[in-house]
Amino acid sequence: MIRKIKAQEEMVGFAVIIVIVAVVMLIFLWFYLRTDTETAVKSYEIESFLQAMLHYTIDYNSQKIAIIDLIKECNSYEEGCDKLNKELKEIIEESWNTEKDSKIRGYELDIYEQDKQILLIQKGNKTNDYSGSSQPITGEVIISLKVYN
Amino acid sequence: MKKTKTRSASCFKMNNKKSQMKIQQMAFMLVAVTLFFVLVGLFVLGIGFSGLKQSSETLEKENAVLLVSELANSPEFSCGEVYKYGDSYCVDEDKVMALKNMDEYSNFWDVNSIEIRKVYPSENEIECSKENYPDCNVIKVYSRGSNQEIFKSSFISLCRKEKVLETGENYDKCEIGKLLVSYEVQK
Repeated sequence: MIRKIKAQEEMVGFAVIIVIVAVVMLIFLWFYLRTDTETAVKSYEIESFLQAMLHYTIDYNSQKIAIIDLIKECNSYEEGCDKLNKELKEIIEESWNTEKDSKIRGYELDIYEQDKQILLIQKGNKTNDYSGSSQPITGEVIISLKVYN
Repeated sequence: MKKTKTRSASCFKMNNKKSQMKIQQMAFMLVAVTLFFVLVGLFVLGIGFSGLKQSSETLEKENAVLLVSELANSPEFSCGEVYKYGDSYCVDEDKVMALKNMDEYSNFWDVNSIEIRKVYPSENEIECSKENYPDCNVIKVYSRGSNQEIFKSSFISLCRKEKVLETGENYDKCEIGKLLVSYEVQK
């Protein structure tokens, strides 16, 4: 009889320990869920950036044209692609800081058509936490920007 | 007689122990059941709060987008049809300079301050005035000044009309800027 009671007491003790561990784990989970998961960059910022970048005026062949026109030129006649690459690199580098103290880890700008890549600019590290936006330039040409947090 | 007395005493002791054990079991059971419901409650609350947080973030985003894009696309700021690519997020720099510190507009927008900063090409910070425009990069449209304010920003294309030196022709000069708007924290 005494043995039975002791065994019962141990079982109860074990159950209590399990419950306590579960509670502690849940508290940790609760605090984890409560942590601020706000992303550094929001997608609407990227959308507005793309819009502004496409309209940026540059000098090309002693003409003043917008970046969007140079993209069309590069895609249609394969001219000005180097200039486009240089300008876009400079603009993105100035606008999105990927240095150590920054919240942004990296970015990827992709200009593409179906089955054809026109331009790809990458910098920094790719992470699973990113914000992005894309928009059509002409019928099939699309520009997309992803910023990794 | 003595035998029956000792028997009943040991029986009483056994019964006492049994009932103590049962009370203990019930107490532990009660604790376990309470903890179970507390856990379930915490899970429900966690899920509920995560949904709330998401919806508040969406609302905040919508508000920010609305506020900034409303300003950028308002007739006082927007490029309109004067510019080739004067669609959304395009701000006419000349208009903004004309608006700067206009007392008539001080209560027109329900915001604390409006500021425009050139992001690219980036130079040293020079506040724009009628004397140094367009060789500057910060336009403080107006500021009411407050301690508790929230800043919202969005990229804009900042356009103005310029002349080609050789030909004298006008062209659209668009740069990349940021429209910063601040409003008071609602208590």
